[in-house]
Amino acid sequence: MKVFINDKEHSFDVNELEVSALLKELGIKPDGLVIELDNNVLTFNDFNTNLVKDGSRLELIRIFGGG
Amino acid sequence: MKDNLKIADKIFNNRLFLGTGKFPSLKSLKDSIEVSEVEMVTVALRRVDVEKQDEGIISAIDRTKQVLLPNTSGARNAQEAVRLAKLARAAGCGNWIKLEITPEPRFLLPDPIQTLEATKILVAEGFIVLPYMNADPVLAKLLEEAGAAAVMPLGSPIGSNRGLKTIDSVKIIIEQSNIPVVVDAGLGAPSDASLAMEIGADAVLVNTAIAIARDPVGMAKAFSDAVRAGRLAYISGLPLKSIQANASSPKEGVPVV
Amino acid sequence: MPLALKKVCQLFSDVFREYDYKKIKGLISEQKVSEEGILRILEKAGSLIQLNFEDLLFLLHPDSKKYIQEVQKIAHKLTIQRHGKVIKFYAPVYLSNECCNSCIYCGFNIKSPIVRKTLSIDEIEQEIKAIKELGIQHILAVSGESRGKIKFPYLSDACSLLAKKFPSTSIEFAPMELDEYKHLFDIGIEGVVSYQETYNTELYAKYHPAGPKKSMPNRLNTLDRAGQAGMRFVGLGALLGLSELAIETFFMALHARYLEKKYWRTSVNLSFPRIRPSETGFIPPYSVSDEELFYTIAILRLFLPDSNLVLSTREAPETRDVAVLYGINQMSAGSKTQPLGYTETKEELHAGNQFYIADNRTPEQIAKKLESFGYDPVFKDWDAGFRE
Repeated sequence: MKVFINDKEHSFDVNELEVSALLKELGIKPDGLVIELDNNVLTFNDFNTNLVKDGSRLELIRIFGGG
Repeated sequence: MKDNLKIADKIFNNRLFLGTGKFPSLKSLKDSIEVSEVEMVTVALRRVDVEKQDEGIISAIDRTKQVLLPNTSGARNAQEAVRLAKLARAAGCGNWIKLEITPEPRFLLPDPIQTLEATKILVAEGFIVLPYMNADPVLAKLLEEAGAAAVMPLGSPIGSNRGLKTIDSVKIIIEQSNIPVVVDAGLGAPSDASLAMEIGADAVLVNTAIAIARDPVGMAKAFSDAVRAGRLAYISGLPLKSIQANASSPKEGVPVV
Repeated sequence: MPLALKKVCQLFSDVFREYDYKKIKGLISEQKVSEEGILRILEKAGSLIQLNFEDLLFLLHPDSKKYIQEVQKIAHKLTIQRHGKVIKFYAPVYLSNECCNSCIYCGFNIKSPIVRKTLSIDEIEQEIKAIKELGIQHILAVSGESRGKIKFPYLSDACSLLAKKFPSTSIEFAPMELDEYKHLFDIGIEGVVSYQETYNTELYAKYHPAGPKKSMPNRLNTLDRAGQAGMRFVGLGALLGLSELAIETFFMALHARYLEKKYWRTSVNLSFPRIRPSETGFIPPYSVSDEELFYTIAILRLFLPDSNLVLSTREAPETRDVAVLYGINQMSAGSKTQPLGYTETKEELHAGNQFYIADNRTPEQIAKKLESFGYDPVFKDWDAGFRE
């Protein structure tokens, strides 16, 4: 499947993937992370129960320094 | 009676708030927070760079000691700001939000109309809203009416370090406001921060001047001390400035020499 | 005790609750008055830096009164700086002297033997005609309180008529509800006047033993409701003489500053009615001398440079003319204080000393006098028509 993460295309060999598994694949720690999956805001608790499919758009957002 | 600052339901002993951007390292940020004993820090939300796997700065912050104030930097209108605020809340940042809507990238000045609109929306959604604004006294009252928990007028453009250029307008805001006034942006030296406190501001937010100092940790302490000094001066009753001399030694009994 | 008004309060009664009358009295008496202290405050006020409550307490100490000349100078300067030399004229029009309250000092009191009258719409038209002949353009519609005999629709119709005929109409009725003020605002009313009479809770209860006016909190919040309804002006005042002047002045200042900051689109007016002994045998326990009156006006001018300070025809011509130099910038002129008073004066409608007119000069005469010492009396200052 092809998914868009922060507007960049990524390919995976499966048809669907749990969000938590996707993060593991990419080596991204879930702490303080918020994800918008196809315009739905997911919090940490939702990562196991939501599936990423072909064509899904994800925004991975984290807390960084700012004024 | 302790001179604490109350914003919404939280009490602050330290009237310096710290922005966390542009620090040279996570360690310098952590040490700056520790040494200055700030109790409120702002943070931003950014896209994770999938390749870099950057963990962000959350580990530098102790949520038991510092209130997290995520900002909506990057938003160019109310809609984007509201979206960012909700993302921040979803990221576990709590429901405090610094509303920052800056459509123009050169001076990063805040859009007053979008800011007012976003404030109304976010207050209705249960956020504690601290809007960043230009030092416009009428806008400050409108934001207060809209339910803002405090107002944050700028001293000079973000990152410019030009000091309290808006001092006259900020004085009016302080006089007219029923909610705390936090001077934010452009304070370039501890003396700027002290001045803001001397004229009656409730708190100041400083980022660039500390983060890009040669020794951010030292600078953080300097700002914290300056804020304390300025506040103490304000509540102790600063004398007025005078053109003439006003002798501090008694006028009578001058010896004839 | 927090003396800075830096919280978002619901209503004035919430603020009022935090200021204890006896404590304020104590704070005033603790002040150590010195010439230096006075000059410092005067310099601050003169530099257009807002005075705080600490400054006010200092000015309220009995020893500060002897600096009345210095205070007057700055009060005068500030008044001219903020208001120019404009003195705005207005006149009251009494719609009804029905009243179900029992204020012990007032001739409208339910037990009073005066003949009761409520103007018909035709009679209001007559009054309007007569008032217009005097040249007055700013009107204050006044009535006693009686939900039974003076119903809201009547007041609304009266207000509607007055608002159509005059460029600016304010009201001094019994406290009303928010939606009633909103309605009156929509039909053209610009301002609401409501005197607290006294900010001393104990004495308030004593002076207002029965009737709806008995409720102090409701009265305290009247001007909040007026502000919320969008009124351009709110007018407050205490009946000077009902309780200790200095403390009453503090509370007037507190109320005004609160309103100024909360209803920031609304102007605040302060009045200085001195209570008189009444026919019922009431003698004001805390009589206020002319000098005390002038001093009070001046220090409130220092504390509230942007407010309008109002002195009515209750006061003698000489008193009023001098008061202008202490900060008064609005005056009633040519007033009649009984229903149909501009058309005809009936003895049986005269409600006693609280309604006594000491300055019987015509508006022209007052205007001439003011002009003679450089002032600019104004009959029309604003037109509500701009609101359309």
